[in-house]
Amino acid sequence: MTSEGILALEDKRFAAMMARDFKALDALVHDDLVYTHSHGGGDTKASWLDAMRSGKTHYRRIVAGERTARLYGDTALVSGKVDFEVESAGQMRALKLVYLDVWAKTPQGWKFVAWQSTPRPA
Amino acid sequence: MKLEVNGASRSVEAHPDTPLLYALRNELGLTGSRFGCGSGQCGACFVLVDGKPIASCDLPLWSVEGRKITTIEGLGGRHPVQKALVAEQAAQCGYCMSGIVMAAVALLSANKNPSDSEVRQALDKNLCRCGSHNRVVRAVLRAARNE
Repeated sequence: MTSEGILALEDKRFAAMMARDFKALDALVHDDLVYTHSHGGGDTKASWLDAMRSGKTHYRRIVAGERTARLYGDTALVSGKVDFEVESAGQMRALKLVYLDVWAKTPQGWKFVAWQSTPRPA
Repeated sequence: MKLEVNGASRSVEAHPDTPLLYALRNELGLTGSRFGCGSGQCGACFVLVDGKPIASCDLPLWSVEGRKITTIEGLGGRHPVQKALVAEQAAQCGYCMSGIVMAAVALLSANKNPSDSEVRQALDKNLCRCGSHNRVVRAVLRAARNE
């Protein structure tokens, strides 16, 4: 795996989130996912996917900014910027974030295992 | 995009998904509205949209096109709420105050004589890490008496 390969997986994940492609997401997301939102709330794989399935959370638009992927053996860290336009509990929100996420190599391929984001100041 | 801010038509060159706060501060130079949490939960970025206090940090521009936006600058600095906050020495660091002013102005526009509990309810979404809440409530009640 290369840094470019990890970023391609990240783009695939973002595309699946927008398309609500749960088959693709299920394959990309590790069962141990820890998803920490920019507001401090947290999700597991099940609760994060359920929020999207139910329509409580709908990622309408995701635009990735400057990002860096670093590989350390079977672990990859991605740090960068992303803009989300997300419908959350019926309210449209535009979020400008910086984030760190983690991908891990498993026998089933590389999986998205952790996300932590924080808002970028205006 | 065209926005109506403080009674004037303003043009901003930004993507429609850009949060309103970023356009106000970075495009229009209206820096009175503050960035706090970035997720609509602290009230520091409150502006009035058609008279209602709304967090601007996560409010996409496309959703406010054609609506009347009022920022703290639009109050002119001598609004009764602003004068009462000074009289009560309500602010400590002051970072949250512009959002509090906008929430209080909206309250007094709808309710000229609010009770203590109505003021507290109206300001429930405005967080102040300095703990100035009680002085703020006194100031809003003073503004209601003097308005």
